[in-house]
Amino acid sequence: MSVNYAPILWNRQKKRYDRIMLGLITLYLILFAAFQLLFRPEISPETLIIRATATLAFLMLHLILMIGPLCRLDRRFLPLLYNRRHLGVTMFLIALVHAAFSIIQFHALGDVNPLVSVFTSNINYQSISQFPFQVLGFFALLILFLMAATSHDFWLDNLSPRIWKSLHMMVYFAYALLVMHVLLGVLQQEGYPAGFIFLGIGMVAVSSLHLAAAIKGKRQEERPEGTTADTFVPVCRVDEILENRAKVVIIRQENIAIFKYDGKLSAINNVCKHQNGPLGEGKIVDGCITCPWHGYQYLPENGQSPPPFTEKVATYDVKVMDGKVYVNPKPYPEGTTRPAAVIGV
Amino acid sequence: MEALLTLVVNLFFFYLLLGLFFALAFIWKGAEKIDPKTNDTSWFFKLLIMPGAIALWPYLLSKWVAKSKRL
Repeated sequence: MSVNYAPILWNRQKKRYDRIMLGLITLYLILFAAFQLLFRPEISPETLIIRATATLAFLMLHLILMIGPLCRLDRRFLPLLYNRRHLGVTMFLIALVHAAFSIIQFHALGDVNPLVSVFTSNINYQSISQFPFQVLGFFALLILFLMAATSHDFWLDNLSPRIWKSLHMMVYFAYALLVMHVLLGVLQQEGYPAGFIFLGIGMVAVSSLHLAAAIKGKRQEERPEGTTADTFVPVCRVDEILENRAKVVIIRQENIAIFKYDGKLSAINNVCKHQNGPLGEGKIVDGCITCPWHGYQYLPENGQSPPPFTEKVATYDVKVMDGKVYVNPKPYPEGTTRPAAVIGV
Repeated sequence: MEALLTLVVNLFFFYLLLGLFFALAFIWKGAEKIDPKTNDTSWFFKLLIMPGAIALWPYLLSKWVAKSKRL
């Protein structure tokens, strides 16, 4: 969150995140190389690099896909989310090394353009067992490249959040392509049964976590019934909301986060203007509602980012009666100041 | 089949080559035209947005042209 773009948004936590990530990557590469050299001493350096980067990038993609649902299931995983962008770009660079070495090793020694050779060296497109799996990897890499290349906030602002989000949701298509790339290529050709098991575990983990998070999300989307005469809707008791935290409700398609702070309650739209992050899963830091995804901030009483920032979200009327919280789901224009409901009055 | 694929791959490279020329002009002048938040940003930032500019140059070109017409 800045007035002008910074090349890389680093803070103390993000630097720590990156250091841990690079440490684990190095550890994985060392262990993988040691394991391969121990059990397959005849392996060439090129093949070792191709296999190490392939397995590492695929493992990282699984982790990236699991972070979102893990955070929805348990807030303790939120620190993993804060710098997922760097994890994604690093994963792409590792996949690029895999692709580059694969093309050099398998396609660069003939008289055909190496990239053309990727598509023409095996033309068994009708066969399942002999399908040219490298083509699938190529298209997956293309998607991962587009995602990495547009990961900076400049692209979010200039492509529009809707297009940017759609582009980045293509990671699931890339994942499907890579599953087929692994299944058809490496596993079938080499007859490597452990690979099937690892791939199966990965697919089950990714899909079951997404399913569990979706079920939990559905349960949390409370839709209170009944309205009072002035269209206020009862939500919960005041003591059900923790200090500096929020209660999220969806009423008549309005996704509302009601925050409790300093003996008051304010309601704003739950969707962050940055990347549609869930503001209601964040907390109030230094008097500002802080998005748990990337730290974008909004003032609770008017839904505006503190100056000089310009992001705004819709606000709603809240009131407290007999220890119960009521919200009017009719949104005010983004950035409209609404008086906070004072608890105990 | 091979001739067709060679043509497609060559067109792909040609697209990227055009994108490279566009991206150089874009990070020099265009980015500031379409987004004031790129004013006074470092060359490192401009290098970071360059791969995306190479890939998505038709979209950025249309934004740049539209912005120039409005000014």
